Amino acid sequence: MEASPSPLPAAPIKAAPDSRVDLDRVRQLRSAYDPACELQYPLGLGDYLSLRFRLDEQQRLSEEHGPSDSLSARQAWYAACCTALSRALELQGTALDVPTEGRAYDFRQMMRSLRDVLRARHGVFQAVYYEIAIGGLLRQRADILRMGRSVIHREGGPGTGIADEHLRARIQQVYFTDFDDALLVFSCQLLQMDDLLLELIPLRVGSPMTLERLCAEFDYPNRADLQWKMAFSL
Amino acid sequence: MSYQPDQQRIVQLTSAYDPFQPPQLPLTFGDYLSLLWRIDRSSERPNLEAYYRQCAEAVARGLGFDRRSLHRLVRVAEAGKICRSLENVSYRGTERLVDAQDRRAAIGQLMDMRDHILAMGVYREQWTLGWPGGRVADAELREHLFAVFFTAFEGQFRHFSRLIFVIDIVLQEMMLGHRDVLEISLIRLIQEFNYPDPASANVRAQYER
Repeated sequence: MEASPSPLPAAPIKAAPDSRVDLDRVRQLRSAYDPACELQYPLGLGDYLSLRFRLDEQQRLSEEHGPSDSLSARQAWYAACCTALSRALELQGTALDVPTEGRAYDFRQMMRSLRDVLRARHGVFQAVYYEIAIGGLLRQRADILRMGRSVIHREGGPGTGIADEHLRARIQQVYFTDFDDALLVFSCQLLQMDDLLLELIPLRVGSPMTLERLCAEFDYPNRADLQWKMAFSL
Repeated sequence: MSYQPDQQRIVQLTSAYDPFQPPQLPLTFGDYLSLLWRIDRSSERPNLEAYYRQCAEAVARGLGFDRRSLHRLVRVAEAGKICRSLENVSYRGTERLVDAQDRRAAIGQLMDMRDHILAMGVYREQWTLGWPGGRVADAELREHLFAVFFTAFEGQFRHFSRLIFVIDIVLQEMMLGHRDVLEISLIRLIQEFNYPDPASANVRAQYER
């Protein structure tokens, strides 16, 4: 066995950041979409998929831990957001509408839902390849969103009570700085993936819409409503 | 394709450690953790589990921590639950650590991060029917798909995955109590520590079975 000190990587971890707008847009796509979130960009297909992913997370938590008032309220919030955005993007009643049964972000189910429309547009054989491509993107999208979950949901971060000051600082740096920064840049792929999904999905998807319009015209839940604030403060 | 040294290391850490593409760089603590991840993913294939367990055992012996609580825990942990069980290392040290609960949380989170990075790094292994979109007839669309699945992904992953180096250093410090770089060549592992010899027909047959 050979041993030597100084095990730090030679070069910084960060990639060159994309434009500020891109990073802010990615922050929105990765956000929790809860009432505390400031959604500064109009919501489009990517936001709709991210919202369905967040709804799916709540459904999974309910299955794992059993239903609770707080989980039910959060689930209701995300379901209302998804429904409003589905209407605004003209997806209501289509293969990509919010499912009434089962999980909200089951990429295999989403692929199956699109099968008939894909076949009608591309023929039986080509439809298979479109389906695989869409499934690949939806799966990769979910994996990227899932990666940030522990960072978003845990408070204080792990290891806050570790006695060794140096070790504690390293953990906090990895957990909050290195990981967050690297993950944000890594997640820029979401923008390209969403553009590509728009090309691949054989449905007409409406233009992105501002939060104000969504609330005014499509019953997007009001983030200022005490009922919703309470659901996320428990 | 040529890689920078860091990238070669990443490629190795996310590799299958199979006998057909054996590790080219000396094996480190990070390789040990990646081998444990492979054991977990082989929980339904006993031949693969045995192969990876033999690899991990050899690396632990070669790097000199086979008698530490970390590896003792690995030996008895069920495949599929090993990486998750590593957070309990903080309770198994010889010292009574007042901050064991915090260490446990930190190990769990860092192992989660590591798991995310490896899961992204092995995407291609799951493309059994070729890459998604590879047979889409529309050439322009196919190029777009290629750009996302390969160019964009690999460009971003190259940077993101370097985080694994820092994670491994911190994990080593928490699990072994020091940050020294431990490494050993594959040839020494084979000759002295019973690492499965990639050139052996039996080893290859065991892996493919």
